[in-house]
Formats: sequence, C-alpha cells, structure tokens
Amino acid sequence: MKLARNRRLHRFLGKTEGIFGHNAVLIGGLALPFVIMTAVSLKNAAALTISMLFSVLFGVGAGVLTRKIPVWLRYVTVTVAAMMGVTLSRLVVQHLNPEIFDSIGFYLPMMAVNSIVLVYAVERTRFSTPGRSFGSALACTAGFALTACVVGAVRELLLTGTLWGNKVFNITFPAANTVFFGFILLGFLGAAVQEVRRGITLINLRADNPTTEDLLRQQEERLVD
Amino acid sequence: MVFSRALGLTRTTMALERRFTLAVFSLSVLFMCTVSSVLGYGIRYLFSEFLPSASSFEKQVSLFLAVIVSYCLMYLLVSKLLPKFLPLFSGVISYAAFSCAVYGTLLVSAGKELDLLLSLVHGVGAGCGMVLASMLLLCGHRRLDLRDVPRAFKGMPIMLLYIGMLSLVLYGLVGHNLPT
Repeated sequence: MKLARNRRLHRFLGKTEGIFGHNAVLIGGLALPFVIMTAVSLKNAAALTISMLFSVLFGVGAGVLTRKIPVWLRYVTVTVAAMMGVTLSRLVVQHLNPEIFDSIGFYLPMMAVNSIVLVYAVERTRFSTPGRSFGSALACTAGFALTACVVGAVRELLLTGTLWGNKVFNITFPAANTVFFGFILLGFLGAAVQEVRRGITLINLRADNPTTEDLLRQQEERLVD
Repeated sequence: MVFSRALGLTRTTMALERRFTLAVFSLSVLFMCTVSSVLGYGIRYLFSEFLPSASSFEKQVSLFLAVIVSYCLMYLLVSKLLPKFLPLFSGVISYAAFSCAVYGTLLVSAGKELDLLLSLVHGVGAGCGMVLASMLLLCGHRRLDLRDVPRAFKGMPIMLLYIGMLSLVLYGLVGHNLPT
C-alpha cells in the first residue's frame, strides 16, 4: 500500500503541532476557559492572544532558567514570571480598545495560570532544549490564537452581526454570549477538524492506491478520449 | 465554577480516569480554595487599609500571593503528613493548586467584595463544586467511552458537548432565561 501523500501530511502536521496537528485548544484541551468565556469578539480574541504570547514567553523563559530547581518550586517561579508578562501585555492590549478590560474582566490576570504555561513552561522544559521549548510553546500559542480568533469571529457575527466592530449583516443571536454556547461551538469545531483531517487522509489514500473500479473508470475515460 | 464560568476545565480534568487521582485533584482544589480565600481576604483588607487607591488590576495580581502561600502550605503539609503519596501525586497537586478554579474563586470573591465569613463559605463552596463537577465529568467520560459515538466526535469534542449540555441544564435550573 502506498502512503507517500499521507506521510507528507503527517510530516506537515508534525511540523505544525499545536496549530494544525493536535491543536492546543480543540484537541489538546488547553486554555479552554479563555476561549469559552471571553472570546466573544475578534478584538477580545486578539487581546487574549497578545496576553497569551507574553505570558507564555515569560513563563517558558523562567522555566528554562530554573530547570535545576525542584519541580514544585518551578510552578511558583513560572507562574510569577507569567504574571509579569500578563502585566506587561496590558500596556499593549489597551491600545486595541481601552474598554476591552471590561469585557475580559478577571480572565486577563488568570492568563498567568493558564494550562499552556503550566504544561510547556514547567513540564516540557525539563526534557527539551530551550529552542525546542520556545518553539513548541509558540506553536501552541499560535494554535490558541487561531482557535480563539475563529470562535471570536463566529460569536461576534452571531451576537451583533459585526466583525472587528464593522457591520456585516443584520443578525442578533444573544445566546452566543453564553457559556454553554461556547462549549457546544468548540465541540463542533473540534469534530469538524477531526473529520477534515480524516477526510484528507482518506483522499490521499485513495489517490495513492486507486481501487479496481477507479482503474476501470480511468481506462474507460482514456478510451473515450 | 466549572459549568458557569468554565474555570478549572482542562484536558487534565476531563481525561482523569482513575477515581483516586481525580479525588486527589479535586480535594487539592478544595483545600486551596478554602485556605486561599482566607488569605485573599487578608490581602484585600491590607489593600483597603494601606493602599486604598490601588487599581483593581493591582489588587487582582496581588491576590496571586494567596495562591502561592496556600500552595506552599499544602505542599508542606503533604510532605510532612503523607510523604509516601508525594512522589505519586506531586504533579496533580501542583496542577490543581495553579488551576484557574483556585485563582478564579479568589478573583470572584474579590470582585463581589465579600467579607471574611462569606469569602470562606465561597471558597469552600467553590471547592465542593469542583469535587462534584469532577465526579460528573468522570461519570460522563466513562459512559461516553462505552457508547457508539461518531468518529468525528470521539475524545475531546464529545466531552465538550457533554459539558455544554450540563452547563445549559444548570443555567436553566438556576433560573436564568435565555437572552432575547
């Protein structure tokens, strides 16, 4: 059985782990509260992404520098460093929209204890080189950004019919602001991603290994031509 | 906390299959919520006495100190009283201590400006809620594993849908109406 296309697909997914391969939020289940509760608009999603980037960079940096200390103490140093990153990110986020802090609320300081920081800064830095630790953490942040932006865009369109504050169409679906809608939307998005991946794998398998019916059909088409 | 604010919800919470590990996780969260709520009240009191002009973000960041102190206290207690369990569950305890549920509980009680007794009750209640939610998630996880779930929904998607349904049920039970 030929698997050349699927091997290429797996290599691509391996290189983009955290983004397309094993997405951090949809498949990994990391940083769910922020996407579910606060990603209700594209601006909120952008603000969350900036805060996540700062907290992950500072957290992983602290994790790399404190590899020699006991693990239980590393949780403290990493989260304190992540909190410093979140505090700095506030200066950048307020340029997006000063009112954004009202909608994000206390989920902004909570970025310091998000699961991406805990997993990638404490656990993964123990066994990887600093370059790899930063690379995988940034890939995970990109996966979070992609998911948060898609969820934020969909919810903003459904809630107010706008995208980044610009009117697109007249629609209001206030239930899109609720927490259960966030859970259900993420569940369906995750299922869609899994199904798309499975579909692409099947298409590649069929293309590499045509069945007898496919070969006969191709022969008939050549004869007709 | 879990179903109304999505706090304390990660793959770890949803994928825990052993009852004992889940019990350790949720009891750690209960301890942390209880102790940190008292310490958090103390920090809020100090702010109101000595730094009344501090911004809400500064107060929220300072409340993180309560989480760190509670975590160190819990780690010390476990290492002294249950040293055999420490190597097995130190990761679970640390993960539970620095989960969004614990810090979120502190921030919610700070936002509502609860007094000492109400903060303590809120912390204990949030911790008990986490224990209950963990049990519901474990039951759901086990039942969904045995069901014939469509391939696309296997794993995280079906768990998210299950939690979404539970959240909707509790939303209605509490008395909220769907926004119109």
